[in-house]
Amino acid sequence: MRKDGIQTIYTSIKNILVYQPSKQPDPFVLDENQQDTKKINCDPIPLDSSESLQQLEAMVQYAKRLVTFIEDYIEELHNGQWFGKRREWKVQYDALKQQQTEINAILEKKNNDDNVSEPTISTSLEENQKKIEEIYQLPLNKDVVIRKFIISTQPEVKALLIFMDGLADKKVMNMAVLQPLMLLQNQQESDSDVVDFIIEQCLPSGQASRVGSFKEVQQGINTGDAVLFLDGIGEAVTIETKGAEHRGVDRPATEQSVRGSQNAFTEVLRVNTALIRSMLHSSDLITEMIPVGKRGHSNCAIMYLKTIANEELVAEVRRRIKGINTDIIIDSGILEHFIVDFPSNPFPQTLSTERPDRVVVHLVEGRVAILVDGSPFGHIAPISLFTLMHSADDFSMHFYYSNFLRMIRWVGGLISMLLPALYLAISTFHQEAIPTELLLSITAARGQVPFPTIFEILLMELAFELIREGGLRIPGILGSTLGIVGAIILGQAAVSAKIVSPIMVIVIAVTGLASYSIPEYRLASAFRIFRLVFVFMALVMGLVGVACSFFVLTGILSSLKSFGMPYLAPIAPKTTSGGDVILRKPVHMQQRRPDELNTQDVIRQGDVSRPWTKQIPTGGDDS
Amino acid sequence: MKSYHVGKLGVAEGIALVFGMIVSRLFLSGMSDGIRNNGQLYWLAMILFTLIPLVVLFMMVYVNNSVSGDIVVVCKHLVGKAGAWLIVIAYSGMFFANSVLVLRQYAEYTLSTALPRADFQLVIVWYAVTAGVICYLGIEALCRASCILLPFMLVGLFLIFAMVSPFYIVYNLTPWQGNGIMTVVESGVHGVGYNMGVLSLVFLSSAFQNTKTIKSAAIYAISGSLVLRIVDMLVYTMVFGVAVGGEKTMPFYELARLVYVNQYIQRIEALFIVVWVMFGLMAIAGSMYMGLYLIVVLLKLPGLRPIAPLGAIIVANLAMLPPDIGTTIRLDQLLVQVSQVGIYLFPGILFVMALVKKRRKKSCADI
Repeated sequence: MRKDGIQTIYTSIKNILVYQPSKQPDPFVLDENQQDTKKINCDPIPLDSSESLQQLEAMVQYAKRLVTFIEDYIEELHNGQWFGKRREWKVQYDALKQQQTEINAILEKKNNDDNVSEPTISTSLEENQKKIEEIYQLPLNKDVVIRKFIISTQPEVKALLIFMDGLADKKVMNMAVLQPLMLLQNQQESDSDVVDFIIEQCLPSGQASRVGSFKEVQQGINTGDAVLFLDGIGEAVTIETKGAEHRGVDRPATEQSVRGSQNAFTEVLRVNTALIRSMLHSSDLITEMIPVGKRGHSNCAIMYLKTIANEELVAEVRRRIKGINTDIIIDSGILEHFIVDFPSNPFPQTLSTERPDRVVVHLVEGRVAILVDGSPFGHIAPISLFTLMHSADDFSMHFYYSNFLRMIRWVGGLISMLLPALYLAISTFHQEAIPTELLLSITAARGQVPFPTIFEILLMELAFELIREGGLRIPGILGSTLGIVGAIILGQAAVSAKIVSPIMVIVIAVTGLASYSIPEYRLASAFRIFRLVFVFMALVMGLVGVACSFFVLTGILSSLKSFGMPYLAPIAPKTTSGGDVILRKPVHMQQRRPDELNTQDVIRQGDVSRPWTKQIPTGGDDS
Repeated sequence: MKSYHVGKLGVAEGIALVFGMIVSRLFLSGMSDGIRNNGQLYWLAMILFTLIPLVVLFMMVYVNNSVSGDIVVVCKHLVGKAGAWLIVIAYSGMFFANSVLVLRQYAEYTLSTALPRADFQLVIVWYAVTAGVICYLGIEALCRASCILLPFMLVGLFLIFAMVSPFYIVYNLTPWQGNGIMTVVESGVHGVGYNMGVLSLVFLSSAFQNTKTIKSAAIYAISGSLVLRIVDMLVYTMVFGVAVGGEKTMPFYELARLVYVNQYIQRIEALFIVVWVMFGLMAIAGSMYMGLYLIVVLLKLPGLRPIAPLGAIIVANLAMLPPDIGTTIRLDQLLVQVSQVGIYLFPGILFVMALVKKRRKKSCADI
């Protein structure tokens, strides 16, 4: 008893004092492919569903009573004895009515819970028109067009066509929708219903499908489709008439390559998916469409190869996108922040690309591509830090040269992050490490500058960022010209005015140049942020500060995950490499897909990927 | 293929964890002390105090496999609740003390070599905060970061060994008997505390994939550290000899100072600060994590993260207590001696108890 009391006091004090972590589900981890160990889900019904079970039981009981009542009533009617049992019927009827009231309440609640209380399409054309006018605030809103006409079937059917002006192609509308429907003369309606008849025999449009709710109607209209309502039918037909003006397929603006493909994504989702499909002719390639955004329904496409991509990964990507609760997603960059594991970490956790060929390469490796309507950039997930340092035309060049370029990029990355900090640390704390002649030269140059090194670094960094940002905003080709001229003039002027030393101009210029060698823009931005962190660490503790912060940064990156995959895989944790990490093997020697992706099919190509080398040539010999 | 469940660390991560924890004293005065006491035969002592903890680790793996659960559950099952508390607190204290004393020595080392004008407290706090942040990030981050950086650090060390080759005097390795074989054996038996970090693999067994991973990591880490220590000892002895080498308090720094390849590559010891700082951080953070982890499992706390800052503060404050570097080195030597309890006594008791329980269980089953 006494022991229990002490235990209780101990537990109470512990509960008050000890931090209790918030109850969150375990983070997603990209695990082994579970295909072989799939089990039928035999989970018991959760306890909190007992109320639902009771309600369901009540509804079944009501249905049974109703059936019995009707059967009995019919039987009595047949027997002709119904008059004598009027009172009995009345009592039973009242009881059923009472029960129906209760059932209705349950149904209403359930409908609210399931969010199926979306207004459904009415059989009355007027009601549908009224509903559409209410949704789109007509006649205030001038974008939505309502066109009434009559379809000359037997009997005639009144129809209502609704579309968004500017989003729908008027030529398609006139030639492929209105003309066939309005000029329909003396056509006999077949046995099938009128909707089937119209879809199958009257509309030459590419896609036409039935929809049953106003939510689907809105999705169709908002994306450029026309919606056809028919009088007396509680369904509508969405007809593909998309035809908004858009930019054509152009050359990549930020991921130019010397020898790779020259196509880039556009703002139209369907064009982008088609670009990918035109490069990857595989029936395994799946494109799932998920509408995102409560107010503006943007379509988001998930693309993957069904027989390669890890099913758990696909399900997780789908779950995250479906789980977004926001007004609108207008750009893939915004979507990224909603779905990555660590949105506050500046390091990119997806690969953003405007090149369909890059997307195709990664799809074949077993990754998932995410595209958003209206954004010319696709995202690839999951990725590692090493993927971000790969360039588009790495595989278009000989592997010796592309490996050399990769090394240059890594050196560039390290310079861009560490050079100012190392310069500051060595010149301030560890001058003995600098060769004497260079030290004298630096001292002489710095002698006339009245500011400390940190001030010089921050000033030059600020100037460099101003030039970079200003260069982006200055219109047209003037931007880059003014940027270069500005940098030269500013640098020269600053040195002449003895505000900064010439060596500092060199350090910052090399750093800036190195940051452009990083192929991924967001990664370069992350490096830029950490460059400042390193500078401040070097300011306080010299090389010790740089070493400590580099260790911490490596720790942060080691604990980072991209859609459940470790960010530094396959180095840490060490896994079987696919032959394309920091350096790459020749293409014919890359037999395996990246192990860290846990794909369904691990082997990319056979051990002998060039069997012709083993065959005897058919041509003549040298003699 | 590999699984990435949280806590499923592999061999490479295990090697990095142990290597970082046991090699850090290579840069401290322990090396010159050992050479002074044992002479040219110090390498034999190194072999001894490497092999004994390896055997002890295998015993602890056996103990750990005999009862499922963390170290507290295992100890409770074998030696009762009070015994478990005693053992786990003792181990936690040893790891904390290791963290504190390594931190203090590295701080002194930093003040002497890299930042002579820096404030003592600032350096201590700097190391403690960095180690605290790494502990906060977790064992996965600590092990994987160490795993990535370790190869570069080893390249740096071997580069130094190569660049001081013009100063090698092979005759300094004679007489090969050193100060006598019995002295060396005694040093080897008493010096096992240097390698107590290897037991962290058993304490963190739930974080590793399986027993085979733990054993492989232990073998690779401890044999790798043995090779590195012996190479370092031989190079150091060849360069300075026993008489001079035994006097120096910063052996590796002194070695790096000798580098002179040409007028452009000289006085590069400052650049190698990065290497030993990282080794130091691995040891401080690793020991601090182990100390905190044992407290967490003992008190059944819901997580380690909230107490990581507290651990860093305590370690920093304790590290400031010794009045001078001399006292710190003496305390460090004392810790190595005390750590024998954690290598010989506790594992011995647990191993015997595990054997006894197994036999009893077997005899009961036979009946």
